[in-house]
Amino acid sequence: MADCRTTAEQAEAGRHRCAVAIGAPAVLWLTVFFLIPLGMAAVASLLTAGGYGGIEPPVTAANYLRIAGQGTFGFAPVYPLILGRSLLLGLVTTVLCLAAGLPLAFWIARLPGMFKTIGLTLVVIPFWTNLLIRTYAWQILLSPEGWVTGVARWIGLVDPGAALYPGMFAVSLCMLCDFLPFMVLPLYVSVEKLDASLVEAAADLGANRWNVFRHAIVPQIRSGLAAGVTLVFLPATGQFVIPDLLGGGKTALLGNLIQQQFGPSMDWPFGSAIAMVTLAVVLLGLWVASLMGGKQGGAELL
Amino acid sequence: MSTPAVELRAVSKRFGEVRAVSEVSLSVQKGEFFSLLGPSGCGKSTLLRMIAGLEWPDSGVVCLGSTEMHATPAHLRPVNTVFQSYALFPHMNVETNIAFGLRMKRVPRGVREDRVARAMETVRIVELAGRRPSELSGGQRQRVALARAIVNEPEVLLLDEPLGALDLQLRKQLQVELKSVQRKLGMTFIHVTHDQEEALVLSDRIGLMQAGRLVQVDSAERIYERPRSRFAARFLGACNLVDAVVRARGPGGLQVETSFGLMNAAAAPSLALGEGARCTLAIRPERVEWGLGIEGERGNQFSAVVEERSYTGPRTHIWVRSGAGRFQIALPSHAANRAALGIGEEVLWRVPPESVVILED
Repeated sequence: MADCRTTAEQAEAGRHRCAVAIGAPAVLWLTVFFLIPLGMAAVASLLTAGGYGGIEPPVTAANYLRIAGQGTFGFAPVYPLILGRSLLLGLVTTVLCLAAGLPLAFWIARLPGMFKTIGLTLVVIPFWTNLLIRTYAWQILLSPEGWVTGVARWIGLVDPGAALYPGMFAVSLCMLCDFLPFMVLPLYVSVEKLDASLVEAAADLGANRWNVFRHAIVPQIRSGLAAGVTLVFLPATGQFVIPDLLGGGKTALLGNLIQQQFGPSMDWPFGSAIAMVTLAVVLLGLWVASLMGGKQGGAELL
Repeated sequence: MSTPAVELRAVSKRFGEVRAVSEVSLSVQKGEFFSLLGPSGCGKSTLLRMIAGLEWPDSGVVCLGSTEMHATPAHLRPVNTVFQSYALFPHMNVETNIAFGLRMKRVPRGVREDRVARAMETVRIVELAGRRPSELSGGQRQRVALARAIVNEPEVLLLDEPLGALDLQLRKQLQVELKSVQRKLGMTFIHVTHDQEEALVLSDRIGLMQAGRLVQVDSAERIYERPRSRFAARFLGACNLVDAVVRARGPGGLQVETSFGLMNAAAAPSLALGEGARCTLAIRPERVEWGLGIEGERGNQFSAVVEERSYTGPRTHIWVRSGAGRFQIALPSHAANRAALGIGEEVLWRVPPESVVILED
């Protein structure tokens, strides 16, 4: 009896050591490159900017107050607007990707055998080109001489002489194309596993198309939806290259605001504060989304 | 006769090159327990799915009550299905699963709760209300699937191999319960199965399917006692098939010649077989009388040599050879033991003319 237990305990200890050995590199990596920098940013955000990009005492909440809209000349909601605009960009991109990605994922999952692979490859192929090149390509396509504009003009969507770029349309289109794979791939994985008999059961029990989707399909692809939304919304919120190049460079977004603080403005504490607020807002958003998505989805989302 | 609950007229369906269902016409009466029986791939499930609206017929008419419904989508048809895989919603508990159909029909909450509670009582799963499908056994899931369907009080309940995934003991027990639920509710049940015994136990009538066609529709007794084809005779239990040639027609039936002698058969008057025509006889093993000293006025008594015997509990199966034919005989085991006949011994057997069935093919 005693021997048995000893053996069992030894095995348990062995498994434990093994788990530590496997997990250690990842923990070390996250600590050095994520947790420590995050802590440093949190500390920096509470300090004051010195000359030439330094970080100096005293400890102050001034950076956060500035984000909240307290400027030198009284209340001016510049930064809340930037934050709101960025979240809106993320939201619009996510909605567009969902609207395009869901039907696409279903379509690819229904293709026979080999065509599935081809379909998925086609979704991923744009990744093989650099983001900047793709964005400049859109500039050309959407310029007054580009053929996309030509077609739009011919249909009557665009006035003669006008262009589709720069503007919100160009930004949304490019964001959609860039982020679509992040939505389609996780969705495809869960759509592929979809149990069709549940769809039939729902219809059999009197559910119309919308109710079939809501009660029999969405719960089954919830994990894919959660992953897709997270993968699109988070980077889209911080994206600034595309709005810069296709939006005409007139609007400030979170991404370029932070970049500005660590670059030309040399105000690291303020940049850190913006980063911290962004992080907090995004986590809050995900938490709310997980509450709406129910227990199952929430666990996967966070 | 009142309007049938379901009427199919010349319904056909193909999948690519395969004719899954061809020209099936059938009417099922209200309150009837009807089984579609056939080997796998015979089109019985496809036929059921066309009644449910989960599959569209290429041609033909599907009527539910007196309404043509072959173009109506599934969610608007007054039928519900118990699926073979049960298809319970994994993210809902038992109660919510059962309430789903009523919720879709916007039945007010109070009524809904009453009906769900009653359905759970009917199939005896009240104590499972809060569980998820993943926490249930196969038999329990089957009951939930049944409750989820009957709670909607459909005109017709469709059951697609509802007991197929369960082990034998449980299957037998649930067969009895299924039958009693149907009788209690007075609901029309159409049931698909490949298990002939299940079909015989449950059904008022059975529709036998072969390769997309409905080959015989009859009561359980008739389909077993009076099969019309070789397929029907063989599919429903063991059967001796004997090639024969018609020798004479009498008032009571036919006299036919087999490889082991002349035999009298009480033929159906509709059967148009002239002298010299070839036919096949079907004789159920348990209809064979056996033993020494049988006094047969009309003959039908033959001698045979015992080749094999196997004991299966209630019955003992004995294979004998008569002439060129090998014959299976099933006797109650106590009778077989009393006869105490060993392999190689010569015996007499007899079959009453009314137990000899002349097949149409």
